[in-house]
Amino acid sequence: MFSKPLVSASLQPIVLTILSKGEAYGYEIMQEALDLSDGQLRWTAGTLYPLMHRLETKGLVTSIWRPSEEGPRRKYYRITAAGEKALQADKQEWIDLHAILIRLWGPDLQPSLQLA
Amino acid sequence: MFRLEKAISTWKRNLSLNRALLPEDVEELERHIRDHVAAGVARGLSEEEAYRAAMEMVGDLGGLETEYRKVFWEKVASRRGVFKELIQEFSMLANYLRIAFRNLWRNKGYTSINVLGLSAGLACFLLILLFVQDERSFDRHHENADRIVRVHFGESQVVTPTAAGPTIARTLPEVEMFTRVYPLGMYQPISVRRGEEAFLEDGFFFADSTVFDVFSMPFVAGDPEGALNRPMTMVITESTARKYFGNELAVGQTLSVGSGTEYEITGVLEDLPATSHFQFDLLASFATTGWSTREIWNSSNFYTFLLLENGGLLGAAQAKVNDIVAGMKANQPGAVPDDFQLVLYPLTSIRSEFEGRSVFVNIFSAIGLLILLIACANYTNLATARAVRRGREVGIRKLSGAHKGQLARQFFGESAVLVFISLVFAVVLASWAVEPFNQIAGKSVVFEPFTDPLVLPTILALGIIISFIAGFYPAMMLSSFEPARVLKQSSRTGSGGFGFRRVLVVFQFAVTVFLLAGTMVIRFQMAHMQDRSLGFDDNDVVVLTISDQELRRNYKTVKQAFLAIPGIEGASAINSIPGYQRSGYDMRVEGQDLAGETEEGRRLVSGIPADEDVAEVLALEMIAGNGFPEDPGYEPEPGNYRYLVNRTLIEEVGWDLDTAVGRQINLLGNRIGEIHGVYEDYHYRSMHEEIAPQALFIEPMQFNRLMLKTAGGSVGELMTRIEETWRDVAPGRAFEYSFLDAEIEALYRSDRQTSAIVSVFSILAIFIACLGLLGLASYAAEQRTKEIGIRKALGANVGQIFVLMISELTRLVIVSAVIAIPVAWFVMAGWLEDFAYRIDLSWWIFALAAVSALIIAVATVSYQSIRAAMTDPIESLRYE
Repeated sequence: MFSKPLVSASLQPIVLTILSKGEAYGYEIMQEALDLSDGQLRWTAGTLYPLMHRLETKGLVTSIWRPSEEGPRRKYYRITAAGEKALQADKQEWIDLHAILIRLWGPDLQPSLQLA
Repeated sequence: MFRLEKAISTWKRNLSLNRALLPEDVEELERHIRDHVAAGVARGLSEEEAYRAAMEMVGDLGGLETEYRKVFWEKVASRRGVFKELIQEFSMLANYLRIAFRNLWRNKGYTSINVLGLSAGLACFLLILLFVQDERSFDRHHENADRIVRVHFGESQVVTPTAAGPTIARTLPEVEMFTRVYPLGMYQPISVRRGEEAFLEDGFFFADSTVFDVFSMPFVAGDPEGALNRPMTMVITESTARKYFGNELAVGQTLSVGSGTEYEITGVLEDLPATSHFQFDLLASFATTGWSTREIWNSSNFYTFLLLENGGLLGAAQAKVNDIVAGMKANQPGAVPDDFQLVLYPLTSIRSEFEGRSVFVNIFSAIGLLILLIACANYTNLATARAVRRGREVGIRKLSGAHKGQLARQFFGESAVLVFISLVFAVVLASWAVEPFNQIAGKSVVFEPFTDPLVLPTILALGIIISFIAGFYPAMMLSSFEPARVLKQSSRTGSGGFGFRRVLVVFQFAVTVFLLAGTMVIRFQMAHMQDRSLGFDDNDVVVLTISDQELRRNYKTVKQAFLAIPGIEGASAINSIPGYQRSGYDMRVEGQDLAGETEEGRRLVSGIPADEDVAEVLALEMIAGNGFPEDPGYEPEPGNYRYLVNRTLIEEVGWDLDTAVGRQINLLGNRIGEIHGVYEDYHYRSMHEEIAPQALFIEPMQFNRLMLKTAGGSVGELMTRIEETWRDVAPGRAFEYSFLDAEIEALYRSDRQTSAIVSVFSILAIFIACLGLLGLASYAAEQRTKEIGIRKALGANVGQIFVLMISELTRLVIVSAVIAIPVAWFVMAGWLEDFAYRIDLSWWIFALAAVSALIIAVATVSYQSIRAAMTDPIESLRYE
């Protein structure tokens, strides 16, 4: 598990990355993050949805309600051009930061999680 | 049996009541949960297990709301719904207020105790605020207020020589101009006449023509430019104009001053505001007197004011003035005394600092604040005491979805409603009490909440601050109750905020003990001054004013005329009456440079010209010698002066009482003469001042007052006779009189005001504190009903129960006294410093204050306590 500030900080780039592969609804995004991190990225709905709404008001994502075959409709989110741009900026920041940390700690540090 | 649909709809209902989540947010979350449950069921979980897991993922309601709230306004703004949301918020506010009103209405006893206490406290505070505001505004009405300084002669003398102003203005570029004011009427009332009508004016001053450039004094008629340029011109105030001229135009007319000099009136001024440190009625041109162009240093009778370029230059200007003085001492030795110095004093500090009103202002500000805090403490105490009862309400509200913030707002709403209701009463109370208050305080403040633009905002701000101070702790405490705990407990146990309540009660009673002790010390000191012998008889003495040289020359004839009236037993002319004898002389005594040619043996003594009957009229006690000899032909001349001196003078010089009579002394300049008697010390000034050496001597040209000793009893008819005689012997002079005892009383007016105001506010403070105690006692009694029932059932009697009920309070009052007494001791010792003749601060005054506070406290709660103690245990135990 990651510390709370780190989770909040990484939320936006992770969500935007998932959406950059195609539109998704909240539960899907959450599941994908969960699978991707072997259960380490365990967000609550109270964390994810307010963030989605903030991204939407900032114009980084748009949303659309689509009916589903069974049960009530779902709200799908899709990344915008501005969102793509923000994602690029985020990516660069994280890579730079990562590079600094690696330079500090040496290259032989292995991540505890093997990403597929 | 778990039913998914029912669980989801219950969950949804709670959520949809929350404004932070929009309907579509709820829909999104619902879909999320359904997806989660479906995935769980697919993995083989039961519906219930899957639902619980989903709920865990969603997070609890509080956390959910907090997060949604963070983006709430952004979302609302992006959908242009801000206005609607604001209306919603306001309607919530209205709802809080509605519930608050309902709660207050339902608890009328509680509400009225609070409103009574708060409105009394707020009214006191408002009045004191007005008072302080009035004091602070002294001399601020002048446009240049911050740039005006008064030149003082040394540290304490406010009058300066004529040369001070021009000399400083010539040397210092920082000084724009100077103006001198010669308050002649303050030294001796001046007779001013128009035709047959004459008045004695103590507000007759002279001033340089620059006075209107330095000070802002609006003219209602005439032109300030050059109004006082010419000799024999004068400017008078509006009410003085009315006094002499009625509705006629005053400008251009003349008034006759003193022995008949005619002054032309060149202007009429608006009356000076009561907040001006100097008050005159007639201002004549300084050019009229020979003083205006003669720059001399050896006579100090004039106020000197300087207008600086800006107020910040005061320090620099003072340094340069010090240089001037140092230069004078070096270049012209003997021109000024060795200890001579000139001090620049800012105009706006004259009232507060120089006249010492700031102490007074601070005392009252402190009392006002304390009273207000006592009233706030009442609210806090009663609200938290009641909290025990309201615990259930809070628990149920929380269970139905209210969260801490909402409840806190609700309780703040209640305190705000109470405070604002109280404010309305307080404004009414204050506007009703402002007149009596003015009379007690000797003020003329006005309270106009609806015409003065500053008052209402101040009151509103006060209301908000007080709501917050009083409501903060109860709101925090009540809203943080945990539903599980308060609902599990039976309704009447628990002691929420008990410790804090005790602290507040201790605070209230510490203030009470402090104020009681202060009031007692002040009252005892006043009584001490009343009881202390003045050393002379001030009863049945009528005082008239001798205002011109002719009357002084003929004072013996005048006296004889009055002595002819039956009922007048004695008469004596004197320079100034006891209590007001301020003139001082340099004294030399025999054997120590009697002629006064050197500094040897120099002593400053009080010297009062009086005639040969002074000892008899004032009933002074002669302790050596026979007093002034009967000698109708006596005229004072250098060498044959005659003196009576007081005991202190003899003691200070070091003479024996037996040998003092016949010795020679000299009050400079050149009044060598013989002591004819020694009288016991009397208080020739107020009891604030210590009795210093004094000498009485005969010198008719300095007589200003005529004292007539009457036989006592009704003076009505006698006064008519006196007035007739006055018209006879002093034709054309105003007839004005006073009584010596009243004049003496007037010396202590400000002390009496302090005493009266402190007493009134102390009583109010105690009253408010007791109101709170009364409320607390009724809650305590109610809370302990069961305990009392059990104790009684087990054999306790009424007395024991009563002691039980008051023992806690007694302890608290004792703690309060322990805190308050040292503070009171310190403060009151400081206050007494100002009296030369004062009571000793003894422990019993403070003990008495503490015991009184205890008695008042116990008396306040005794009714409730006795009633609780008397309750039949069957009654009290049947509740369960």
